[in-house]
Amino acid sequence: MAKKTYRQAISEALFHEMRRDERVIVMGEDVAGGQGGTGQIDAYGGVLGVTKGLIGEFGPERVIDTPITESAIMGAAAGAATQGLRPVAELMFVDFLGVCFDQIYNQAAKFRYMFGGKAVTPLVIRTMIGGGLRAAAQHSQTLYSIFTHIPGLKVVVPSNAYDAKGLLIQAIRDDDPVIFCEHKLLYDTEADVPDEAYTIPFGEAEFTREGDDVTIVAFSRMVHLANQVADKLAKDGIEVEVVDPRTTSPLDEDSIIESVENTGRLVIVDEAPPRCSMAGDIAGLVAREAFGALKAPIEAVTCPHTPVPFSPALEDLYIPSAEKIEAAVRKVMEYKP
Amino acid sequence: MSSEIIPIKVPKWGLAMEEGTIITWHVAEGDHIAKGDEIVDIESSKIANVLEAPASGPLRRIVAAEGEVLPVGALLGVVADESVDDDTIDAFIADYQERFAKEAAEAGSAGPSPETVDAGSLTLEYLKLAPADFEGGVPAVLIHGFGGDKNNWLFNQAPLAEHRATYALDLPGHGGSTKKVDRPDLDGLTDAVIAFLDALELEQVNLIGHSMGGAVALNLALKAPDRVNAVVTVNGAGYGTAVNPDYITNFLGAKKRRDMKAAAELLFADSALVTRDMLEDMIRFKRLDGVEEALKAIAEATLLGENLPDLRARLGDIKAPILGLWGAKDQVITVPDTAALPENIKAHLFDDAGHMAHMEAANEANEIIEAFLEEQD
Amino acid sequence: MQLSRDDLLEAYRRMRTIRAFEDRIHEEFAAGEIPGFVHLYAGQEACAVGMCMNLDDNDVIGSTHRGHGHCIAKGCDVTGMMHEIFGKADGLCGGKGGSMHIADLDKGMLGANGIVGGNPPLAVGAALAARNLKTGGVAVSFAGDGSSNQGTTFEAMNLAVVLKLPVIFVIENNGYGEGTGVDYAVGCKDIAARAAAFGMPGTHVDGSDFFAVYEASREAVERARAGEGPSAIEMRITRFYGHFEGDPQLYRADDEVETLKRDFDCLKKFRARVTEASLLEADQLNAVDDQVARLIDDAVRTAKAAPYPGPDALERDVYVSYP
Repeated sequence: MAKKTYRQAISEALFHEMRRDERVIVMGEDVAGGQGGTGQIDAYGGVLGVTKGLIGEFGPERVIDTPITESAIMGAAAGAATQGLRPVAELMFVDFLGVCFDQIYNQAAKFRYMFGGKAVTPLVIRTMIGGGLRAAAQHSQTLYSIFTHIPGLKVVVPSNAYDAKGLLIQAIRDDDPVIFCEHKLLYDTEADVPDEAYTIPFGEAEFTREGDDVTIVAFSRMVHLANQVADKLAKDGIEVEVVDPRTTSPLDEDSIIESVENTGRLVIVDEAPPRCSMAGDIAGLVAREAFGALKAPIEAVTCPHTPVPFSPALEDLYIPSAEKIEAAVRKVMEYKP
Repeated sequence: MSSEIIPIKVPKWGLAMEEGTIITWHVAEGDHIAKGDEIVDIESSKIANVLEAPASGPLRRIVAAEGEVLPVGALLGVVADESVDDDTIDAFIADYQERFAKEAAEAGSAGPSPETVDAGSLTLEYLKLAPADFEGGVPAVLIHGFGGDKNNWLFNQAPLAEHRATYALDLPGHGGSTKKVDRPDLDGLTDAVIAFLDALELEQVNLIGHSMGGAVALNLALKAPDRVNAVVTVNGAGYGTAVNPDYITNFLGAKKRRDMKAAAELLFADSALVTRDMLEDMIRFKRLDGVEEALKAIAEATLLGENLPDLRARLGDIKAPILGLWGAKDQVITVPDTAALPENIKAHLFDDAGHMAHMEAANEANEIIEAFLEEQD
Repeated sequence: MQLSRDDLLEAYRRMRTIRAFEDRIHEEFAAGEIPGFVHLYAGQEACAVGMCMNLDDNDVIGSTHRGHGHCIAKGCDVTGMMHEIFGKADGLCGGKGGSMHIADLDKGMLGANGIVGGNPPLAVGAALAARNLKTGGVAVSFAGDGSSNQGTTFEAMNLAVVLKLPVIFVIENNGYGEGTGVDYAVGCKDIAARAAAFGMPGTHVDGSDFFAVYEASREAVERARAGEGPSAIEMRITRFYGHFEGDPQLYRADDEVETLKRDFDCLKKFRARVTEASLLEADQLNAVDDQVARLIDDAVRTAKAAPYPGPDALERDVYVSYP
């Protein structure tokens, strides 16, 4: 099976679904690029090249470059979704959700419920999350927990190329609004990805490592750090189980609880700030549902409660690191009541 | 007295295997080992198996320690006669290690890779392995069972390919072959294999079929007797014995590795052989567009209820000689009463193997199959 | 013409500083010295400087992701800016903001902005404060053609008219929003007319003509100071570099930038105009060029040598007080 990057995997998913279903459209800023310029059309194919080539095959009626106008993009995509299209709208950086959140959380997310179950809004919003590019406070945030908070939205946080393709195809075929969060630092990571289309159901965690001593629940890029730590600690005889929920909404609560019931120890690794976060959410879940199994207090490795700093010196301190995760695991292992 | 030094190397079990973990040595340095002795347990990410001694003689050195993870082809130990002195052996080991490290650095092992062929309306994927320097005996086509694929022969294809060209194919709806299956019944699958033989211009072959693939092989021998030199079935369907519906239902229903484990454990006498990667591969396969529909259609048309093929009455009509191998602990298809089989069928039971007898008793099965095929060449 | 010779020399100094600053950052970025996302202002200097020559520290500007020029035009410390862009502790924002978020509130610089359409409402707020606190100041929102399509911009314009606030909306139309052309993305090709439809004066100027920019700005600022409400100026201009550093600019014809640099360079035009009219001597301008070059060299040298912020900075200044 071919190794493919996260970027290629997402691109393949879009090609598959656009070929399969002509109702699928892609819209956003510079998803092709070059419209109205003096040079080439498809000059960008998305700022990080993920949608390159789509306009050549599917044309400008289905691959729609928009002005910089996030509210209109999200609102138009939501409206079109209620009327039979299946838009994949791009919110380039998740930070830009501030410009257009109303259309997402007051409109798209609530149609089905408000309208008494009559509306179907098959909308996918692709967006980039995460720090590490020194892109500073307004282009580096990890905001999936904000979407997760909103009933009516499904939220996907793929950690690898294989999952990205299967989850995006699932998202496009799903009849609810789905926020698909791609981590900027994962685009060049590779995994075995089948050429064929496939789907991964929402709400099914993946166990990327199995072990009996400590459970780490990690999201998106943090899964890779958690795996590194698990591999390192295995040499010291500490068996770490790494659970990648893959979707934060729905959340595979059963897998998390089952794992903690087995290990009795939990470390949550979340690149987002700690308040009202997935880290807090999962800690609460385990405290409620698996309290009796816990052998040590729950540890959370998150960024601090600050905006994302620009300076590399500060950003490196800001993002959870393998060292911090390892320290947290050792702490729960060594805990004595 | 021989001065030959024979290296024992990490085997390559299946296309995907890149490295193996040394689990347990069953022999010690200095032991006299005989060719075919089970000497060391090795685990790939997919499966564990025991390596047989490639030659007889004193095991002069064990190079790989238990727990070590080594690439395919790495040195595990050496066999050499007592007459070879220690210095010579040390020099051999040093030289081997140096060459191995150099080769590994120079090139990723560009081994054979699967190919596809258009067979009628289907595209079928297959892996061909053949002796490098001679034509060998009548080619063999390996047909996997329900829900399996060409990689099920990972312990068998390479050894058989030392003597003849071998083609492990993916049936329609399986592996890398077309997922849309218009004819999911036994005749449909059989015709697909005939189309495969036509497309590759294979006039006459040995058919080796596992489980449902066994029924396909037997059926093909009935439908196109001229194309078949000999038939080997491994825990084959078609002998009129029952298929465990739990296996089929669990396999079809499994969405998560955990659920798949319940199905996969029925495949082996030793359920410890079921690895995480094996389950992951099965789940990933099932997620592909069209696979669930294909498998469901095939299960209904060829495996469940009244559609389960019963070729008993016609087995005696098959002209080609038949070797029937069974893992006695099969929990998927009931093992038939071998004494009551028609005379043209030679039967062999492996006491400690289950449904995947060709994996669980791989070394023994390979020898029996090759000996049988050589008789028919 | 109300500009003195000193004013003209100062205007030239600011424009030259912006150009030299951006050209140097282009080089340093390509050499891998600068982290993050950087968007350069080279080519647009006359817009920022022509407007800001009408402003003082009491006035406030809001800016964009392409903000270095606005900062320099408004009087931000060039060395502090360079240190900020290198992520150093003594940068204008302590290394926490970077290129896209340089600000200096003491200078009336309300920040570069990572969000397209982010600043127009903020500028309206600055104007509101100026009015209520009777500072006599005005606010200027620098935005681009891309921003002109954002709802925030429309809402800000309408509110400014409703409240009759001392704010000026400068739309620097440089032909592209990221990699998409204005002719495609701006439905009504006339952005000034669109602003005018909200009920304020809207004019166009050639953004490469410092004097035209200065005049249009002067009228708008005077109007604002007089309490007559907001206005809008569309400045038609070009950028010499890509949307971001590293942008291959495939959306531009091969010779486009070359032609623009030849015919549409505000610095060349300014120099020709002031020397032909004998307002300034070439030697004076050359001397400025040399001083600016040294300033930028020094700024880069000290920026590279300066220390990064220490760990204690990470959680400082999230709030004024907490809890």
